[in-house]
Amino acid sequence: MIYGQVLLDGLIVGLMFALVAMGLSLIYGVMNIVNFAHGEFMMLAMYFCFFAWSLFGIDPLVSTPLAAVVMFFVGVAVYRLLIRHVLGASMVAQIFATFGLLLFIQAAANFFWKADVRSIPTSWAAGNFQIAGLFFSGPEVIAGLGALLTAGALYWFIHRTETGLALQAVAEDPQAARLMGIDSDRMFAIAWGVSCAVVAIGGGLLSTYYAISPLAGSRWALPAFVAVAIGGFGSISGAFFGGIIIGVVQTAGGFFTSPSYKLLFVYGLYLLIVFWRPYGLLGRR
Amino acid sequence: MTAWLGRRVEGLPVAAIVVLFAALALYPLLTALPFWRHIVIMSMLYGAMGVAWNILGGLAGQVSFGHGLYFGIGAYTAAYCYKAFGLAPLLSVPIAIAISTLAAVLIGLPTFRLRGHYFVLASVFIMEGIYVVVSNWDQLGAAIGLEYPVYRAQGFLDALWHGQFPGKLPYYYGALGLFVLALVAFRVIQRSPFGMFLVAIREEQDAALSLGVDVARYKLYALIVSAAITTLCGTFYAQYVLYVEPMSTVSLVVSLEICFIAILGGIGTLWGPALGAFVIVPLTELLRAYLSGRIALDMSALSGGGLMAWLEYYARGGGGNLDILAYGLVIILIARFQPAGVLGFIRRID
Repeated sequence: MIYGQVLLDGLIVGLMFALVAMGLSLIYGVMNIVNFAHGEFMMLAMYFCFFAWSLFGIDPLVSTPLAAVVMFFVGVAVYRLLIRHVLGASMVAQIFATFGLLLFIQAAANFFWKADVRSIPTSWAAGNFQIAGLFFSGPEVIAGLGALLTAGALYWFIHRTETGLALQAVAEDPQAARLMGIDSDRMFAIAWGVSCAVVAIGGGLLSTYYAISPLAGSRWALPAFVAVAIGGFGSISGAFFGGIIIGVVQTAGGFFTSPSYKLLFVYGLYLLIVFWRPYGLLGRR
Repeated sequence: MTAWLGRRVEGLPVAAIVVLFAALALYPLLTALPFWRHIVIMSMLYGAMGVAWNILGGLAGQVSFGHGLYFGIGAYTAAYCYKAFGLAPLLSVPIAIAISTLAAVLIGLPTFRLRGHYFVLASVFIMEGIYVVVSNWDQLGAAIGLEYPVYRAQGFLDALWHGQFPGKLPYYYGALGLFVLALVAFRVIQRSPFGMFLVAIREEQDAALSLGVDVARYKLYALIVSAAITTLCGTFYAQYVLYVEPMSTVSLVVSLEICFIAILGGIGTLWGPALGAFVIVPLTELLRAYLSGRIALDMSALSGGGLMAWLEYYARGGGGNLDILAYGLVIILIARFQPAGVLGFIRRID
């Protein structure tokens, strides 16, 4: 039974990793940029929900969609002001652009809201229950279901809408897409907006049970890169399954050794995969 | 007779180089204030590491975000050997370099097969993994680290043996020595056939491979040399601050700082990383000294104080971290407006 509990916990953590990883993979797939600041957008969404709750008494389950809308525009703004200008630059310059953004947003959060850990104890999602010997925490179950729904919506958006298909076309071959009349600059901006909105939903759902602090986002984003690599850089559905895998690996690894070593298993998994298949488990080229 | 003074070493006339290094050697005469000496010591130390990083990152084109590991090996080996066996730090240097060479081989062999982002992320995850291990390793003091017992040396040789000097001056010239050593090593490699193989690998790996260049071997040699110099800097750092802990040695942040200094100055050039260090290290040290020291009021005292109280709170430094805020902004602006580095900017003005 205890293994069932480990699997369940890993699955829920994995669904959150999946949300983070899908946004990362979307940006990577469309414009070949590794966004180190991805977790910071998640952290901003957590603070958004925290202040909506503490200042106006709005429940995180209500403010999460609002956070997604706000972060969509933040994502578009970041693309327009910064990312667009480093698209043609070297990989190193691109990495430093997004890494500088990580430092900047984290330090700004520290400056404005201090490093204190905050939480939202009275969300509607609060409460626990038990089914067949397995413990379920209300906020975590709701977060898991929300993540699943969001992942489904993103999949539908990418594969069934005209904008989503245009995004795929740009990812496949930007020049050919341009010849077909697709405005790749607009597509890049949309990819950033959608990616940030998706990770904001993750942040909002997490804020009902996870400690909110300026460092909260990066704890999710770095392991999520492993999920992206497992799924093959740029593959949205690959990133989803990669997220679930690292959630289970991390939880099980921490359970069998010590929680402070749980990330070692995730990082080790990345190395195993790229040494075995240098372009990712499902990757091509 | 004096014609050699007019010769140029990567664009910089020999006369200018002589003047610059004479100025560096004489700088301690200018100020006895520890803080101002400290800034230049750190600039030269990080300059040495930036130049060492550049052997691998600039010449061979392998962008490693994991050099904090070699820095940490130097620092931890010295601290551990001194505390556990009373070994003189100078004698622990060969041990540290042996360990770093072993680590370089173990890490380099599998990772050098990876390219682009896959290589970068592998170095990031190895660095983070090692950070987790070190901060849970009890013999190394875990997250708290190792602190040196204070030793009052009798004379210079005794101080050298114990690696603890009373003032900053010996450290100053130690750092200058490392800085010059790194620059000379870079220059020698750059001008040698080995350096040309590295550049060939960077420019067109497949072409180099097809011409019979043993790509894997030369990348590994570049990493070993680069790691050895970084390890030496780590030992020096441990003796300088007399305290070793994970966050300031084997962390991703330190690794990125090393790499950023090289990139800021101009990747692959001799003087770039040296210049980068003298721009970014004083900037961060000054920001840290003047901005992060302003500890804020307790936030709870503010509730009910209205907008003015909040503005005052931020004016006094808010929750801190303004130094990192500014640092992040500098990185963003350089990546955005001058992706080729500061040296590229100077060249453009020429």
